[in-house]
Amino acid sequence: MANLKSLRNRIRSVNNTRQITKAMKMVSAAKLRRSQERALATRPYSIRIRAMIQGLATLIPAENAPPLLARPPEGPRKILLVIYTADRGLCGSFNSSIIRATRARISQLTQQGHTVSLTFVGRKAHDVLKRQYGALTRDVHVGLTRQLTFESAERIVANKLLADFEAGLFDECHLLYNAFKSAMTQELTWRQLIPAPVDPVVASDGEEVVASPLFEPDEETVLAALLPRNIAVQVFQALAESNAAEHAARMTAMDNAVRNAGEMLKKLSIKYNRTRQAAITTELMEIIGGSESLKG
Amino acid sequence: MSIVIQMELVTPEALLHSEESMLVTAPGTEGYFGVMAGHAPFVTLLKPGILTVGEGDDAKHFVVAGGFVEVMPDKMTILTERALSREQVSQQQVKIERNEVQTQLSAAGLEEPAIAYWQSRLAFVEACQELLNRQKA
Repeated sequence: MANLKSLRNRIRSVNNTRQITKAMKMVSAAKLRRSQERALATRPYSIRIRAMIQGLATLIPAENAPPLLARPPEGPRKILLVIYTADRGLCGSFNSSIIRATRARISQLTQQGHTVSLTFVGRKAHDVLKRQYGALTRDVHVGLTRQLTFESAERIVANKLLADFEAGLFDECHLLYNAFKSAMTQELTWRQLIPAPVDPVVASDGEEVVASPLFEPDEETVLAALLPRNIAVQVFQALAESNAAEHAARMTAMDNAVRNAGEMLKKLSIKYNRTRQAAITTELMEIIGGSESLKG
Repeated sequence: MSIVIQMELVTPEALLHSEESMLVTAPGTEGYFGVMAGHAPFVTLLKPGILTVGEGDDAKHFVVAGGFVEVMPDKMTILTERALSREQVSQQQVKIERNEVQTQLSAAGLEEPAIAYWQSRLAFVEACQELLNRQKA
């Protein structure tokens, strides 16, 4: 019976899907553990260096501030957005929430008269946005999470940012990434990179982090070394956070997919059994009907 | 006031070492300096060299690359791009790294900032060598 056969095929394909999603969930769970440790390990350095810069910034008069710290003049500016997404999909709303936030921010900034350019870390956002904003795209960095090291983040992303900044291609820079909160939640985070933000730095325990007031050899020298380093550290930290968040999101998404497939399988096999039963009954009726008519 | 100072050795990739110690000696750009509990708060730059935690035979040694040190009266944070403990430094690794750095440095057409980068790598290798020599002595 054709219907029975198509049901059987359907069951097999749903079962395959369930096996694949289950495997992906396992892989993500394993990767999540490692990347979560890494993301958490990047936080102390990032917090300390921001606290130091904040402490220094208050000591240096605004007119002496180096370009990476100086507030750009009011009015239309050239703003670079660095957008972090995954290289691959199948991770729930991980990429789409970033893409949505990017669109909103771009239209908001252009309305205010700013010029926006984009740098993508990770393939997904660029895939979606290139048709609409292709002309704004400056760089696309792909495959950085495959082997996550500070050195590669610095060499590939941060040094390019610094070179472009020095060339005057933009005067403000923001990062957008998913910060890792827990295995279940990611937090969409905007972080201002250039000029270095000077608002108080708050650690995850809610305590304000303050820096020391004395600098060797002097404020300017320390600041000149701190600022480029800060760029590299923040770029790297965002990458580590985003990577952990990606695995967490994928694990949750795949867990849901496995559950859905399981439910579907249950429904399908009930339907299959009913149909099979109906077919048998019909066949029996026919046989009985046939033998009855032979008797007469 | 406590007589020990809480030190933390942090790289961008991890918090490598945390310990309470009487004395920490670090390689600043202005020369090696020692920090004990109650030190006046200050921030300084690091150059590649040997970081010593503790004194005498129990002291722990680390080779650190450039970075920053922040000192508070009861706490000391060392931020560095890269750090190796004494156990992680070996003659073989020093040799391999020295070769790599020297090939890069002797390559034609090297420009800033690459030169500065490889020179700091060379200084790091030299600090590793110094630690090894010290161990033998």
